[in-house]
Amino acid sequence: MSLDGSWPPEDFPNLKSSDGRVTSESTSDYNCLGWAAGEMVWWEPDPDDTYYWPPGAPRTYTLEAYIAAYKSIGYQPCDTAELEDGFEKIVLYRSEEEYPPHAARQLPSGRWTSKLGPYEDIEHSTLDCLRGDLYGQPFLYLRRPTTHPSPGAAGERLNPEKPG
Amino acid sequence: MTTQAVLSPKDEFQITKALLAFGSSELAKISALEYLQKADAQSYAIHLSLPASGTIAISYFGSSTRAELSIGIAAASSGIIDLANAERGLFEQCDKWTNYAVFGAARKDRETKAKFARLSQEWKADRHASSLARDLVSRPAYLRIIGMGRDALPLILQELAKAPDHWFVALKAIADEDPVRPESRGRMRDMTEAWLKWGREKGYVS
Repeated sequence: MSLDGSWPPEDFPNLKSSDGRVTSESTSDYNCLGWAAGEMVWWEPDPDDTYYWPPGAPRTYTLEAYIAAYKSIGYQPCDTAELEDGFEKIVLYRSEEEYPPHAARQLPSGRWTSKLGPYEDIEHSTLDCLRGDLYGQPFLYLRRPTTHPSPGAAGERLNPEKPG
Repeated sequence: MTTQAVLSPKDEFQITKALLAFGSSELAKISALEYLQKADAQSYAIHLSLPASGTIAISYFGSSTRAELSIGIAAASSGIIDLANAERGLFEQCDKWTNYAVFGAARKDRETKAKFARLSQEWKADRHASSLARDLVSRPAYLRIIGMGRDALPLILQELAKAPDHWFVALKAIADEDPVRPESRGRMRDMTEAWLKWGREKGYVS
């Protein structure tokens, strides 16, 4: 697949066709927060308990709640987005909102995979290609050992290289 | 008590004729008589199952003589409209069984469906690549669908049956229930199934 998805083009003014490829059909089945965690589940800290949010993490739309959610599945903040042997990484973006508007997951190849809202997920070579008003910019990196057990509770663990 | 009769009208004119025919039948007379014999009955309904056009619920409200029977007719292409729904505003009452009532209900039903279709289309076209359902369900068209109240329930469930989507916030807001089990939260297809099962149990989905 090329990088020709159904999302509004104006959402990603810096995304070029050479930046990557579409790796799924358009679907509302999961969002970037769940996809970054390796689950085809819609993660959201809505206070009304409509969607999944890791137990123990605050159900608030705040950076602290997002970090707590990923910590609950073994991630810890780290310094860089560089590929590191023995670790898998995710990155949280930040805009003017109090919460991170996007999360991406690093693939073993060093490239990244992102679910674009209710649209497709893509594989992309850089983090900057999603920079813009909607997602802001890469802000915080987290990593966990690749030997970390699957979360399992809310959804199936995915082969991180397998297109959705 | 509910009496059911299967008809096969496909448009308003035919529906009208069918209802009039049904109204003059022995079955309808017997039903009305049965109602009158039940002094403590609060309401009485006959559901006419219309394979092509949905269900029309004809409800007789409390009165002491047949002459005072008021008849309300509510029609929907999507499923059974029960008395609880009818009482929430969709219902139209008439002093007697007339074409006006039938056409009025059919027109209202048609307008409701058209409004929902337009708002639903607007909502789907108004999406950005936000990662949060909160952003998706706070769009004006979505809020107006919630504002349609219970009229929108069968239409939302129809949409949900086509494909999982973020209708859950609207469903919870309108129905004031949540049939989704905690372990299914966030699993869109499981959530969809839970709501469709709820819709079938409540008579919103056939």
